[in-house]
Amino acid sequence: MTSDVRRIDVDYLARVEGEGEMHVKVVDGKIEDVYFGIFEPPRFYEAFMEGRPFSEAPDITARICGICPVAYQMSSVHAMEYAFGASVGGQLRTLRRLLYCGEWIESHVLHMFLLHAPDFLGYESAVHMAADHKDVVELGLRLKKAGNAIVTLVGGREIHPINVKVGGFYKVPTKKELLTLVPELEWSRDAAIETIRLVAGFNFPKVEQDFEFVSLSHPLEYPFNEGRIVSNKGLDIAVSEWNDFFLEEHVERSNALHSRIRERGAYHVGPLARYALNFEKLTESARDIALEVGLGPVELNPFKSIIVRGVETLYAIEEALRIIDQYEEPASPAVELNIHAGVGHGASEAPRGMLYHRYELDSNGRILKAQIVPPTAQNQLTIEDDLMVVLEDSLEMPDDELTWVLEQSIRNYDPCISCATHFLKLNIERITTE
Amino acid sequence: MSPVGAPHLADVVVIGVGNRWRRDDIAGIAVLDELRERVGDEVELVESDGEPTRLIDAFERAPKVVMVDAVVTGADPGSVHRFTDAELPAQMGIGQSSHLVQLVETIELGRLLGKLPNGLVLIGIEATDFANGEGMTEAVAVGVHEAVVAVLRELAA
Repeated sequence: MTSDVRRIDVDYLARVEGEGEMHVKVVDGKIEDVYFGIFEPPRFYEAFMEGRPFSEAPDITARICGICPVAYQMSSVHAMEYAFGASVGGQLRTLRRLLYCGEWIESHVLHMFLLHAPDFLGYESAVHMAADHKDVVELGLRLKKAGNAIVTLVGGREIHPINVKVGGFYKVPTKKELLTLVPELEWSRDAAIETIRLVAGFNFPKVEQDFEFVSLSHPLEYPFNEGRIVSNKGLDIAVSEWNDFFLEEHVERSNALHSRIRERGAYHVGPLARYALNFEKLTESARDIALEVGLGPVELNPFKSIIVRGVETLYAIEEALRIIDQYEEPASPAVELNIHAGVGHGASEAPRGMLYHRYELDSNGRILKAQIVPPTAQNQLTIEDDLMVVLEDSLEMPDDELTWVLEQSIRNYDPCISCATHFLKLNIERITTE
Repeated sequence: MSPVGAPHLADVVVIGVGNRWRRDDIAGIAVLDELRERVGDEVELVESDGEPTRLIDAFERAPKVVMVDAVVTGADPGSVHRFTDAELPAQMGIGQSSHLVQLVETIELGRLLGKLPNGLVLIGIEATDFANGEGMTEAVAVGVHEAVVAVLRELAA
């Protein structure tokens, strides 16, 4: 008897930030193996930081991801401030939220328009999509610029912002500078609503999962920088308790660590989780449009994460406008630090989900040990679970269609494998050195 | 604005693409660093991590676009290549990229959106080591100097 073995291997996933691979093995119509792998750079950075001063952590970790440097900076500064017992409040805290708004807008818009929308509209890439939907791509590019402008102004530079430091900022913007952002943000508010309506009109595979959603939760705000870690299945812990409740483990075939909730397993971080756990903290207009386009206050279909990204983009724009409106320049750009030995924990909500940092510091503030748990590592098991569910429903599809929907399910998580290199793999055999 | 005596240089933007923390991947940025010393006052130099929307914005900074990046074609490390946008096969990097939106795809997107009316020249430095860390392969570092010359030639053209 010969077995009918069907194998789908995608060694390089396009439109996933960085490097990823997916392997699926189906034997005699039965799913035997599903694997989603990432090559994870934070391990390198954890080792790299040992022996370096605490003050370098925000700049070093910001380089882990070109798309979400602010998240890395924020989780690292909060961890250091926790270790030193420093409290950064008032307008400095608010400015950090503003910077985060910029990053969410940038990252969500990039993902929705250039990486995920092509899946739904049936295009192989943003380029193919742009040929038919130039206006959609242009809408996305302009919307994203509003986020870029915030990050550049508050973060101090377009890529790898350098203005963030432990204790606050090197320099704070003036009210006048912030007000220059307002007209484009006002345009962006309408553009975000248009975007939500647009993406809500896509066709969504009918898939639902009984996720354990995990995110930060703050009594008064939709979470960026602060809160307890909560889940829809009863978890409610301080950020400092992360290692007591979560476990990172090595998995064969991958250099990345997978995270799980101890004695429970897979969990889901990111827009869908934040939305489900913090719906009431959204602005009224973000809640209204979400319900209007058919989302519930909890959304269990991972493919609808694209709509939730739209809702969070609208929230970030409105929050940015609110912050700018109430802003008064703080007297000092940073608080004083009392440097001593200690352990610091920080978690913040990267666009892709909760990002946890932990540092052990010596009495001079040198880093003895660093731990960085990025959102994609936390979602890895959940992504595999989703692939399994999608596969079960779609086994009758030909390989190319099946590959498409599986890749699309991976992109539901906007997996950031970061550290992307930029070389071109060209097959041209032509040398023109003169 | 360009200074008197070098009016043509204001019409060019040089974009160096790379990641400073992935060894040879720094090549495009290393070229930019060297150019900054030599023509930094006269030419707009833009550092990029390859993020597509910012790259497309950078295309708009000047009518002529010169991009510098590490490439892998199978040639000897440090070899310097010159491609025009028309020569970069549009299908490359689409669906087989390890990068979020491949550079070639971004260039194609820029072209479709009308941001590259005068085309683009890519100066590529053959690279080999993309591991995490700092420090270029010796041959690639030599290629960087050669690429600087190649960019200066484009500026003079």
